[in-house]
Amino acid sequence: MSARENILRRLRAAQPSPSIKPTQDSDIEIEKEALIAQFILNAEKEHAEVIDIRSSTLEEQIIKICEQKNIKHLMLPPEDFPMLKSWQGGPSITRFNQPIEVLKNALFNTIDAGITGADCAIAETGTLIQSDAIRTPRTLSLVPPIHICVLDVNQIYSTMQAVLSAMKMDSILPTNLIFITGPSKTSDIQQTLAYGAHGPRELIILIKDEK
Amino acid sequence: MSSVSPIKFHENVKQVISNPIKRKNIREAMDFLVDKRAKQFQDPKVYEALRTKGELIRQYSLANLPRLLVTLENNLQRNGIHVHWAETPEEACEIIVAISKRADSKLVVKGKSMVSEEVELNHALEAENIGALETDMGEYIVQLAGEKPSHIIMPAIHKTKQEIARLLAEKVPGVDYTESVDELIDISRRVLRKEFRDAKVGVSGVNVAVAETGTLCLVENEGNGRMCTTVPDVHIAITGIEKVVEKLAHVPTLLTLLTRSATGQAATTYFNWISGPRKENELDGPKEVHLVLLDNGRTAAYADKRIRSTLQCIRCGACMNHCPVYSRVGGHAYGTTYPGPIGKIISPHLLGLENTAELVTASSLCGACGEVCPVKIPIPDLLIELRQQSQGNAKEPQLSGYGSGRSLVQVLVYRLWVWLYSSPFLYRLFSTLATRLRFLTPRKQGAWTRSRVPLQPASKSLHERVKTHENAVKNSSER
Repeated sequence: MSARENILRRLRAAQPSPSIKPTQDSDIEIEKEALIAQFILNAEKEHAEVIDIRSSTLEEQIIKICEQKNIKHLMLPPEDFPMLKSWQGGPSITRFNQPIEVLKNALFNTIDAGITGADCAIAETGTLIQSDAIRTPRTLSLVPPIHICVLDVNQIYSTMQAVLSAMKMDSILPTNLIFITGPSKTSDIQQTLAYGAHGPRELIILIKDEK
Repeated sequence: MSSVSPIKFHENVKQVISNPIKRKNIREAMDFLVDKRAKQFQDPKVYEALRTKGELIRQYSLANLPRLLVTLENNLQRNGIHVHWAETPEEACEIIVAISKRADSKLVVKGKSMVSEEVELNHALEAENIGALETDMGEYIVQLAGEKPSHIIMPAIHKTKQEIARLLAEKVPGVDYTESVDELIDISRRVLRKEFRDAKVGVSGVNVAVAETGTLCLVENEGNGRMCTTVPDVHIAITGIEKVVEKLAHVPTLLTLLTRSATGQAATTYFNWISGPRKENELDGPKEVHLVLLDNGRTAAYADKRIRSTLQCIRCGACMNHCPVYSRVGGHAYGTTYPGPIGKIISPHLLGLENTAELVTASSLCGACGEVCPVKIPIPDLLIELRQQSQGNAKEPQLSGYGSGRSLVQVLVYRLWVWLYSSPFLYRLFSTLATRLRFLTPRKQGAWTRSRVPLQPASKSLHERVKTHENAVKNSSER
């Protein structure tokens, strides 16, 4: 018998393994994972802390973060994250559900951290995007010293141009479109990088999968 | 405020170069920015493609400027933003003062805006008893010191942290001297936070204005820009008329060129795109938004096709960081709002050539500024053009102060030179006399000998030396 016959005979005699055809779905899955990885890499380069919460719950993570960072006063957007309720020994929880004129003193003087969602993100630069000023008051991601932002992995795009076409932003834009890359920073004193110039000192991004 | 003026450029320069600490600060900051930028543009092909796109976008915008400004105005008004046009700095200040008074504001918080420096807005507000507080960390430091920014992106680069530490300890009540940069930033953060909370009016600049959507795009790292445009009841933006583009699709290219060229960042912490005041059901944001569109000489630059490309500028500062003159003398020496190479080509239409004729000569024409410009402004060519205009040699004079750099001595020297050098007889006579009478050359030769040894003609002219050499060769070959 020839070598060819021998090799093929031995392969055919071996135990078969399940045969599933690679589909386009798996390509999409690979691309999605690559985008997520790229986003995390670039966000971390910009000094953001990224936590993947796909295998746990938002509540558990928030409790953990509040303990770690010693957060005493937490502020939430008007409606988002209904599952977040105060817990034993946890921080006070206020909702940003009145005009800023009413909440200004608390926002500037006592709140330690604000939680917001993000509409989408840019992998190339590790950037978060907020576009809905009703759902997410703008000062919530700006004034408190810690900003915790929840991002759905299905909303990560490769570039800013891709985001603009996906969001169909061509004639009328939202009141305020905000792109956030890392925590607030400055190098204005002798080129030395310092975080927390006027906005948050820390940016924590929680990655979830809405599917 | 400092009393430097562009007319005294040479005197200003002397002051800086005799101060080794200042020179070191400026040099280190420039090296830092040059390195950071280089890391963002590692592939020359990608860099060139991006620059070409940036140049096209800016040229297209300028080619359609009148139409785009009207579209911008219509769409801003549709979005609920008030639009004001100002021909002069005085008009711009009057508009802003009037809005601030109507808002009953005692203090205006300001995000970084070079146009507001250009119109000297702080003076105008203070003259009406309205405080004007700079909130960008660098601008705040410079304001506390009673100085002006020395760089358009990093206003306080001329200062060491020790100088800043002394300044804060002296000017901020209850603050001790500390050299920790984190603490220095924290002190400023605490002071300015109260003011953001209480201010009724916030002022900002604009990096790009988008005509088709009626949007003002702002770029920053600190968050003070967002504070000024979001927390007070009234937001007033001020910009030059050249900053408009047609489409939103033009913005990403310009922003990436801007942040990479300016600070070597792929993206700054915040891009803040404003398309209107607070709407119903929104819980924060200003109730009124205004845009002031400033001319101040820009239409004069626009009218001259050769100088129009100065209006392509996106104010990244890369040309200063790479300039061998700027990196030695720093921004204050120029005595203009915009220093460095870009300052040399835009200041003439802001201030007139009569005030800036010295500036256009302060260049070795090495070409670095043109090479790093993200929108390919031919800065060296423009410097030559402006030199011609300041000498009164251009074909179509446009700018105020045309011919004001002309000096009689210079004109006579050049005339004499042309006369001598275009006649063989006179040239020979002159070179023979000059070499034979070289001992008569004066030891003091004005500006030249202030920092150099005196010039003296050689003992033999080139012609004579060549002849001697030829004779020597002939003799040796005959032998």
